[in-house]
Amino acid sequence: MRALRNRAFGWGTVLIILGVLLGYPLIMLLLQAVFPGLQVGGSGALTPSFQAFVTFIHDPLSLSAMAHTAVLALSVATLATIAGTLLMVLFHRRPPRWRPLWPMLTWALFLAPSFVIAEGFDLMGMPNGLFDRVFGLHNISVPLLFSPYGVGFVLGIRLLPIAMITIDSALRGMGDEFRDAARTLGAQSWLVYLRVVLPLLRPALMATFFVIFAEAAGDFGVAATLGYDSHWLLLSYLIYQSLSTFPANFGLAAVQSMALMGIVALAQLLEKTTASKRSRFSVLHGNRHVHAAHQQSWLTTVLFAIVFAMGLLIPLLSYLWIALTRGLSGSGIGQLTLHNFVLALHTPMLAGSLSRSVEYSLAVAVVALSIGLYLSAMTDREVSQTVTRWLTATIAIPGLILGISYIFAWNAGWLTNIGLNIYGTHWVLILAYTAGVLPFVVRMLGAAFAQIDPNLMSAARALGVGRATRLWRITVPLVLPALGSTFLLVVTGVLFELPASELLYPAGSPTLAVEIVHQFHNFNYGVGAALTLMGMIVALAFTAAWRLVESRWMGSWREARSSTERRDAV
Amino acid sequence: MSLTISGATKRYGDVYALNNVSLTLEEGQVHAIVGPSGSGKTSLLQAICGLERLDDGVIRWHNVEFQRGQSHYLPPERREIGMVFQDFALFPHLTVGQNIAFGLGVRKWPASRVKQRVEELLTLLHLEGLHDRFPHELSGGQKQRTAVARALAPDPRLVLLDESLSSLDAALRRTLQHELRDLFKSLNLTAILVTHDPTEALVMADNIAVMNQGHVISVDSPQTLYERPQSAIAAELMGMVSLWPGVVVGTHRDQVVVDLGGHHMAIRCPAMAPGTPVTTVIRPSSCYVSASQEPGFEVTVEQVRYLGDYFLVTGRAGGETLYFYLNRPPKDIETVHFDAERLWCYPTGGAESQGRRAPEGEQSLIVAP
Repeated sequence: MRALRNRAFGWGTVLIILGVLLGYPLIMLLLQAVFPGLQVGGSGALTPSFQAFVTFIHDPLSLSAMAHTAVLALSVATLATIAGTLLMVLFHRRPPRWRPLWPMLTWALFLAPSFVIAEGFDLMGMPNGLFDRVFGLHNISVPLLFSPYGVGFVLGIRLLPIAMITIDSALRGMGDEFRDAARTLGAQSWLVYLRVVLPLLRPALMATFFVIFAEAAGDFGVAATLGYDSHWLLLSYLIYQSLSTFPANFGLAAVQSMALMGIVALAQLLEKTTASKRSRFSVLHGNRHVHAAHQQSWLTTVLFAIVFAMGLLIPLLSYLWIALTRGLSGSGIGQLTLHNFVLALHTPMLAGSLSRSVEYSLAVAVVALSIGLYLSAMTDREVSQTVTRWLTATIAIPGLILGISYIFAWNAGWLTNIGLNIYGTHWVLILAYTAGVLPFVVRMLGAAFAQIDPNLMSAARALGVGRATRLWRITVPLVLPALGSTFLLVVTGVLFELPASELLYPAGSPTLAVEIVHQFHNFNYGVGAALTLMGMIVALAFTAAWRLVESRWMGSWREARSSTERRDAV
Repeated sequence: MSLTISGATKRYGDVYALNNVSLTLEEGQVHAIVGPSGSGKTSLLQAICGLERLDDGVIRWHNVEFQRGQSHYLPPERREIGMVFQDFALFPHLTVGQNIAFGLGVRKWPASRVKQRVEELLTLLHLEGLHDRFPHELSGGQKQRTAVARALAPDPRLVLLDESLSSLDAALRRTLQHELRDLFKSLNLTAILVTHDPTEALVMADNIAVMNQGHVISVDSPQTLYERPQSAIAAELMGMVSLWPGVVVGTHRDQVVVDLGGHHMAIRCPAMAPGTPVTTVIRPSSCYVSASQEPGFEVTVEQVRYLGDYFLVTGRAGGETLYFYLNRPPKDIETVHFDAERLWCYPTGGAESQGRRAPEGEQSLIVAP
């Protein structure tokens, strides 16, 4: 009876949390497409109409934006998956020099917001930008950068780390034994990759392709900056336009959102159907054999350097160039100025956006990590695993769609009627941010909890250790590294979050990302760049603070843990 | 016709995995390489199959040079060696049949011949009916057999086994030890197996090389290695043993008379000058307890282990530890006798007894008469 009550309580809390954060808003999005009067409320609220669908089908802008989005997502996912795989195969077979540097840069690029990178390229390619002033390449760079190819290239560079991280993990898990076996059976190196490594990588490749496809299709940062400047409309930006024009076309925005979700769902379906029975195997051996480190290669080093120079260095240099010069007129050291930083720090609206975003990110980190810990540590494994599955499925929902759903959900007439007005307040942003990061939080913490051997708890219980002590002395130290990484992911993600912020920020209180984009759109490039750099400094400060905590508290344990990986048997 | 290894050297940082190892392995025999963890046995096997390059040395199989220093290196795919890995390394995305056929496909055998060869091997390894199963659908023994079938498919003349039975349960391991030895002998294959299990080496091998700290310290037939080891490491690796210090006091025909705790024992071993300190190798099976009144060693029993058919007794006699078997529970003090014919001794204090290295020069894995 007690177990039943516990299970009912577990399900109840889970359904309330997920219902408020995701279920209710998404249902309202779907309803909005069919009941256009829902936002306004009143007697016509529940009168169904398919006018929005008809408008969408006959709107050439919507159709072309949908085609652009599908083509972009397909090309970026294909090319980034191939490039990421090649890079990581090289990384393992012919490792680059300064090996510890590259994973750090990969994570930095992975965490970098897409609009920040796209704006960096934007600033570089514009008249008087870095390319123009330093290299005199304006005539070559502008047509290439401000085109569908440029949009695809920047988005591809931004999403490349997803492929690199996934393929790296898959290659590490595979070890060297299958390759060795194939070679002793007479297979040449290329045949080993064709017949053994690639088929074994197939699940990871498909997952990579799908994640990048979904991210590319739903991306708002590149669409709202480089895409907009290239006059190449993408669905995510069109949805934003449908809502930001006056009068807002809620019905059309809902249908456009459904179309975007349809593209993502189609890719997901494709992944499920192509993952045939033959790929449903587990790598069988637990005792991985890994050869001693291969000879380091300059070729791989150069390739990695090019990737990160384009992904991180060029945007960073662009921001520095623009932020440290006045009015884009300077080109020498003598023209350097801190004027833009002073302006950003002393203008209440600008400095306020940074401090607000820091507050949001910390608040969301506390809320999301608390919920994530509760869901991951639930004693009822069935509930916990089901929730993780549900939330994993929602990873594919773009941030913009989430933002729109929140408008429909929390600005609904019936809520106003009962006096619940959280739309237009800080709370709706905190809820939206939490909903956006929760799938990642639960996934990361869930993985950390899943790695705790149940025998550890049994051993502790056998030694007479109580529940609270077990949690404090065993569980917390073991999940602390994952907790730290998740915290950083949430903080940096929320600090620069753009799509939901654009739609939901309280009037007069823009967030950092909104203010940066606003400054750029108003041609205040210097201030926008200075604000971006200040945001990066804050994100780096959080990272440094966590690394300090980590090295102080867990240094020796982490080193011991990482050294347990088996190297060559002697 | 043999596999010849000369001066094989491999270093990982400051550690020598292989230190100037020289060996000759005769064709058509099963050779075992045994040694404690980190002794270099896996490195030697990896160097033979080409998965690791030697820093120096020569490996030659028949007329084919696998490696000569840094000047010549034949990659594993061109050595035509069969290899059975510790965890089998069966390709999880391929069925049993496809795994076995993998090496034939890369050699571009015609489909009909591949099919015929796979069927042959399925029958030979008792895998009939498993052609379309995936590795995760197999039992441990079936995986092992599939791995052997895959290694044998391209018809190599040299097969390497890297602790290939270690992940199986004891009963299955015993069965497969006999099966595999019979298989290799029937196909007249040269097989080299690396193992840390002395029983496996004794059961399967025609010859055993003992390695320690990157050196081959002993090479002999299983019986010689078990009964007449040349070092403490070799003696202890091949099974439970008591090593007692003694002194040569004389010779008697072709035997050496050793003073062993006040008892004079005539032991059949190479001649040694009187006064030479020796280590006497006493296996539990060389000891017996009889009801006769003949003088023996008074052993104070310290520990008894019941092993089913008999008891393994650990006792002390004159400050030395002795292991012996009894077919009944022991008394507190037992009088133990040694079967002098089954005792062995070697000079104490040499490099061999320290287990560091064998004399310089090539060693040959050839069955001792």
